[in-house]
Amino acid sequence: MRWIAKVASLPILAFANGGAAAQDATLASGERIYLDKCEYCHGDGVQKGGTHVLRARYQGALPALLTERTDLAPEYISAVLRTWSNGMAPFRPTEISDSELEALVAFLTRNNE
Amino acid sequence: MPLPPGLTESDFSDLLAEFGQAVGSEYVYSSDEHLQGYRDGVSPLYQTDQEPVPSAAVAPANVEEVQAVVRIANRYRIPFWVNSTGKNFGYGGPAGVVNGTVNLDLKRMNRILQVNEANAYALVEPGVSFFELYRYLRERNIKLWLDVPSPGWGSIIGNTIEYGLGYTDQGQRVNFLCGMEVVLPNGEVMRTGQGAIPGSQSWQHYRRSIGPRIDELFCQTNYGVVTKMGIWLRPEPPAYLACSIMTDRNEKIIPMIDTMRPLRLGGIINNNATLYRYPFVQEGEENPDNPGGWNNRVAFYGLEGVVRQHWEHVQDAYNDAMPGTAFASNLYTTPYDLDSLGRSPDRLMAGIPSLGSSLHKTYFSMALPFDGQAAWDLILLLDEASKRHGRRYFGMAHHVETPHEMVTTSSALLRPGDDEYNQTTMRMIKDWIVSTGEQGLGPYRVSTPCMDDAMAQFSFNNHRLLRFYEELKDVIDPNGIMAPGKNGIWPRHMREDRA
Repeated sequence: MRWIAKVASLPILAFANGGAAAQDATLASGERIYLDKCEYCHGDGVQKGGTHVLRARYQGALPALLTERTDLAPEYISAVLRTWSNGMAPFRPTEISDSELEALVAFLTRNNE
Repeated sequence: MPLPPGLTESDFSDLLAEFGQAVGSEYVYSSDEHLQGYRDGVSPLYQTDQEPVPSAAVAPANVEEVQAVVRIANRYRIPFWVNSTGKNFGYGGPAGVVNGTVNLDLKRMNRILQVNEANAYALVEPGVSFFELYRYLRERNIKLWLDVPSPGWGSIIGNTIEYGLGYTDQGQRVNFLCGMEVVLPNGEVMRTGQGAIPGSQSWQHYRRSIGPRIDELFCQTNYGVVTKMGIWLRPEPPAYLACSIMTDRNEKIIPMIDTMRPLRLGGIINNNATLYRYPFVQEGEENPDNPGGWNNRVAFYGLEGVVRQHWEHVQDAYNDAMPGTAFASNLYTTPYDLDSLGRSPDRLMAGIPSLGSSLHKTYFSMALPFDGQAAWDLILLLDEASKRHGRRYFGMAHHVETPHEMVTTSSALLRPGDDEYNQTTMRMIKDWIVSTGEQGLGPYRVSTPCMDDAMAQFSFNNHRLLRFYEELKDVIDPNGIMAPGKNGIWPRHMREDRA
């Protein structure tokens, strides 16, 4: 997975300077991490336990798919990924590094209102 | 977070610096945030004063770095616990037994070193998950199937050497392990079987050397860090028939198992044919007057005509022995669209990894004779033991791993944050362990808080088996650094502390 680490380590600060290319690269990296580490439980389709749990929890009040959410706070995503919460096991830094976590947060909050 | 036993703050700081020199400081973790993922958040002990909390974690990228970490641990004489991907939930997760243990995290060692399609095997590192090998095979259109446990995020090596089971005809997966590379507790590297010959051509083909086959010395023990392992796979079958055999009453598990036995012994049924509760009801919500029956999940792999004929024979056998039995089946043939398989059991018996069940359980899994009455007696025994703790037990899953035995996986619920409920769960499981031991039945896999209780049941001739394990431990790991307390095997200095 070395290619992910390389892409994810692109400077996030470039956002503030209007670095559209860097932002695109970060979002692309975040999406790859999502597909690699989150989708098997939170994706759409059969045997997706996380989606099943969230659909039951929200009862349509919020999307069950994380990729359709527009209200996830970055701090909340980080907390869920690093601590035992909401019935989900945390990801160790060898599974999702701090820089990968930043890219994943950027991807999951890209449509925030 | 606690310090490793016997270390001062200054020693600990030096230890982390040495780990950093060995693997890179960015792969040494000691912050509260990073260490949360090395705790077992679904242990009955989580956030109690009895929880074993890690002091640090270190993540080597290759075998040389594992050797360096192990040698440092020897110099400081600190305990370390090994996890491959850290997903052994229900049995302890990534956490150790001793407070302040350093966690050796092998997730960065995630290379699929070889897949041999012609000879149907793979050679993998410990960080490779079932999902990752499955994707690798599918993306390259390699026509091999693997055997997977029900949660597919775990390590192939970790799950296999913990005797994790799958649902295919390779369901007792440890019997399909072929060749290991192991870092011994003194830091030396050893290869087992034919791998001990430099440049071996048959490391993943033939499982022995001359002399004893020792791979299982590194299964469920604390004698070495497995850094490579060969695993046999199976060729894609021309047809795959996934079947269900259903009964409506709990006690019908007796004829159900006894009807299956000659079919399994005779090679008609070849997969890990698992009996689940049917219809499925969440644990704790069963109707005590009629908790339901059983669904026996059976699979056939081979030529379409042959699998159909075997299934007809199986249905005839059950109809003769148990009139009123219900059947269902789904036939799949090449070219497969595996990702479209929707039903969970059909996916599992085709070796397609998924993730779905709740984590908030702790497991106690037993070995049983392949005998219906033995299975029913066990259900009654565990129910009686459960009643002593205000709970009930109606049976969970019986896995017919081989033609000669079954293992059961029994779980007890946990409630996050409800210490009193969780302590009751743990007392109940320890009661299960003692009650079954008194009847001559033993566990095959238990969670970390119950490992000493489980090993205590193997007491023939004054615990000679455990004392043999301890003698090996003292020779292989004289400083007692690797996974102390794993399955009740303690190094000498900690046995003396506990005496």
